[in-house]
Amino acid sequence: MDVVFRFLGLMKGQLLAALLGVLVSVIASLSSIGLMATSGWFITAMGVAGFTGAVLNIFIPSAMIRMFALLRTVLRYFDRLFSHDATFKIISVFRLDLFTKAIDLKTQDVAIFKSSDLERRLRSDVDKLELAYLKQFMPIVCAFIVSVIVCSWFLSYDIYIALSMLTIIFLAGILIPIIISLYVKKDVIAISEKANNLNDKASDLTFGLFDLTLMDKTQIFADKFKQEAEVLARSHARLNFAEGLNTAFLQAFTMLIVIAILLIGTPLFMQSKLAANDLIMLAITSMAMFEVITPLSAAFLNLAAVKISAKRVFDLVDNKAKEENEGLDVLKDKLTTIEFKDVDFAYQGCIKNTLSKVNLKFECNKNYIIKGRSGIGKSTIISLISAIYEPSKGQILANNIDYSNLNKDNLREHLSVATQDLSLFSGNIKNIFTAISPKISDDEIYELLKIVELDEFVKSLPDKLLQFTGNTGILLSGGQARRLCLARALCKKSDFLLLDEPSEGLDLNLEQRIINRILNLRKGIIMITHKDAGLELVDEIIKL
Amino acid sequence: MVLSFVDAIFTALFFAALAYAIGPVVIEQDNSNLNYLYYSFILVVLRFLLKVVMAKINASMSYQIEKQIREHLVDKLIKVGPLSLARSAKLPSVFVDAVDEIVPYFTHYLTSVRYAMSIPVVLLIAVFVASPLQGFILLILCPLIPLFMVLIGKKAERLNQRQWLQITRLSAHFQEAMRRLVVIKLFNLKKHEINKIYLLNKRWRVETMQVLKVAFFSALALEFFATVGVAFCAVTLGFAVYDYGFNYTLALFILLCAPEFFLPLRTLGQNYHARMKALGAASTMVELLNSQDKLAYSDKLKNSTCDLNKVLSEGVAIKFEDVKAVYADGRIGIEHKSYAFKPNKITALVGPSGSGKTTTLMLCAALLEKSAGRILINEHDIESLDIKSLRKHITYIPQNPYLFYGTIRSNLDLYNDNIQDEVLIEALKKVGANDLIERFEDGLEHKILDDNSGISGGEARLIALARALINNSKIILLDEPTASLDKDTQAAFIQALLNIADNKTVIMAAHRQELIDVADEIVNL
Repeated sequence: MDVVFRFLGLMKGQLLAALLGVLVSVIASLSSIGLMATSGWFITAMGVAGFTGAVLNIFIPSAMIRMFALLRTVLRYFDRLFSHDATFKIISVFRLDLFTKAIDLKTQDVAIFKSSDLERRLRSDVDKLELAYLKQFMPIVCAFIVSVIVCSWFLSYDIYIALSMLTIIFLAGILIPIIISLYVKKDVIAISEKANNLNDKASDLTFGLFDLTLMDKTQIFADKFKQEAEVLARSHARLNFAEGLNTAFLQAFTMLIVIAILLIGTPLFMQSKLAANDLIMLAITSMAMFEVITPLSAAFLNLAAVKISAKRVFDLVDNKAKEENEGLDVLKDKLTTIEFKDVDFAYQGCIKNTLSKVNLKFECNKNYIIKGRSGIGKSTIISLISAIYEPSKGQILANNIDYSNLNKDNLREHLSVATQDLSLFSGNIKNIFTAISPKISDDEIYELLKIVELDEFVKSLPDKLLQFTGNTGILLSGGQARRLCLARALCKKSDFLLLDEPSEGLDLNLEQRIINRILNLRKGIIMITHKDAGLELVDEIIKL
Repeated sequence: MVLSFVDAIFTALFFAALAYAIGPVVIEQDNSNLNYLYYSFILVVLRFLLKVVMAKINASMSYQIEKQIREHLVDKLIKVGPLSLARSAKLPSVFVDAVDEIVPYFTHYLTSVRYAMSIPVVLLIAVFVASPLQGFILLILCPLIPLFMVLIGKKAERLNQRQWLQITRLSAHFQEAMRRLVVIKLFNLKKHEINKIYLLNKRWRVETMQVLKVAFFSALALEFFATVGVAFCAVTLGFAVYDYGFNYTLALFILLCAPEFFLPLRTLGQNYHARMKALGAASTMVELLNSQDKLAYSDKLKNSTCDLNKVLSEGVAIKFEDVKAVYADGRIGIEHKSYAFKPNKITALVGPSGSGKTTTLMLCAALLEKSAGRILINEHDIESLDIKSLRKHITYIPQNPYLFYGTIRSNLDLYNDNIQDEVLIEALKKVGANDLIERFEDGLEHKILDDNSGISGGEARLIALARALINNSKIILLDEPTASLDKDTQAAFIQALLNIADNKTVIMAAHRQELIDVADEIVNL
């Protein structure tokens, strides 16, 4: 329950809107109940009056019926409008907040949450929470207020009538749905797990179909998928049944309350303790309470599902290791030295260290090349310098300040990196540069593209700089994407420029030209390569 | 349908029993009919039992539909085969999320349609019998409701599609951002990204509200008629009873029926979005369901008289004689091609891109059918062989091999439990990938998650090679297997290939010189 409350706590910003929503909703429900109550009272009073020949003021009740009818219709509309608008505002803020948290996750921790799972949390779980206000909080609060009003009104007639009404509200609106929701709780949990599993199985089938067809394993994988799907369908069916069962109880109780009130009320009426029109009014009102009890019971029925979603979302928010910017120190001036002291590094779940006892020193007025065979951890060094990973042992110092004391965002402002994986965002070519320096001019971009010899290519594109690139590989070849990443790294002003195999996939001459051009351009370059280009132009060659 | 009529009749009877029991009490203070309340109690129990049965039926229908749609989709996917389908990143969600959205159409929407068709009809008849005037009021208001719903629903549908687009964009952006997390950090793009999400989020909110405003408006119209109907009934009944001495019991009965009459229509309005969602989801399935069943040789799988093991026992020679191949979309892969691949040799297929290297490999793998000429496997026409068994002797390694969700073990043996650990480890050693199991604490049981976590592209290829060894494939087909590898990794891969190439016919589409250098034969396209 606390997770749900915590979510409701987020509504603070929208408190006024939320309260307004509740108020409108309560009045709308009361109007609806009032309509039925007055109608029952009215025809009975008319009936009795007609029978006895008494004169009756018919204008007030018939006007009341019309008023309640109108109020109910209009208020329901505004009720929906207000409450949804408030919810979406809350959700927008929440989603953004969550996204900010997710961005701040340490790279190592992102691996804990699968990226598809992470996306699911941000999308469908948040969507479910959005319903928490509309389908949980609102009905419960509204039902509570309306019940108090109606029951105390009933109390003014007879205590047993009021008590039986209260009992039915409690049974049909709270107790039975809670019992049913406990009965299906494991299905709710299963569904959120299975959906993820099934997604994996579906990916295997679609993307692995090639291999599976060749190995004649399609049937095995299809059967596995079907098994999972069957379990999921079974859980869904059980939820479906629970919902139906709940409705059956709800309807039965709504009918029972009328019988109960008539049974209690008739003797009172015979003893003249209760007027005929009041008796019918109470009976019909109790039926109309159905409109309030239905959402209440749905709220308790779905509470388990909401709790699970809330937990999944808050797990993400609360993930302990998230604060990568806990370091407070900032670099006031230029970043002049980066030093590795006895650094060990092992990937998660790996026994062997990728790096052991590494000692290195980089200065910003020199250029470096790191060489070594593949798998020896060259790229890991880049990730360590740029604080994407943390060493498992040892220290990395920037201007003699330990990395763990540094604000990582601040640190990264002094670095520029071209990684090996070609990670361009979908968008146009110009976006790539304007994201980093918003004021860059087209000429300056062409200047950068010229360094990596892409200027002619870009000019040849139909939309030139505004050409949509999509993800890597759609329009650009691997080599072109790599050069674009290189240009992006050059675009950023920095004290150190880290290049991870910048010339991979390029032909020898082009590679030589680009590398030489870059190495002559500036100092503070740390380049990883296993080729020989540029060796004569650097100040220091580090062999791992 | 029958059951919902029974339900409607129970409801009408219940109200009738109530009115009949209490009517005389109120007017004539005559409680002799009060025992009808007990009949109404029986009706409550009966209706409850009926509802439980209906819930059970609905649940089992939901189970059957959900299960069958998924099964049908998967069977269809397998029939369509790996070649003719554009396997977009969205396809897996068709099997999961889209089905989840279609099921409520059957369980919720259609159920409420049945109610909307039965309850109002039964109650209307009952009210008509009791008093034609009120029956008339209800009859007039009743068709107005669906009319308004349709008018408003049309607009809502269009808005709904737009909103669907927004949420897809938002979700795509989330995914991209999560995958590019490192870049976001390296270039301090956080603010930039958060701003993008902010804008997308805002648009999503505005568009959703637009959709909802229309939906709420339709609900408003619905409520309006329902409320007016009840109010109208109440007022006219009151006057009828007062002025004309209309039977009070009947009046009470009609008043009880009136809200119940509109209830199913209101529920239908609430469940209408299930239909819209289902339509949206179904449209994503259309592409798959409309694809032709194009799995090669699927109609010729059984009628083989040849003993395949005997045919393949002494190595495999493959010969193309004037072969032409056309893809499902009409694209011509190769035309008039004749060449031979020698048994137990490594052959490099070279030629510019578009010259038909991949097509040739597909033909060898029996994943594509030739449309002219002959393909001979050890002098037997490929069509005379048992294709399914033949495929099992083939390993195909694409440019970027796919690793299955599961463990390293399940990626090697593909859930064939008869294979011993030693065999798997031996195979990994032979391709030089034993580092894989030494590196992870849990060895063979190491889990492979999204984006092949912890396993590099080079290693994924080695796993594919190891699979060939474990399967004892006679034919290994490779499609530019080292295209995106660095020099060292490529060298390791080539060494692994040489380690396992004994007694196997290896055909590789090659672009890089290092790969061509190790081939025994070269076929130029």
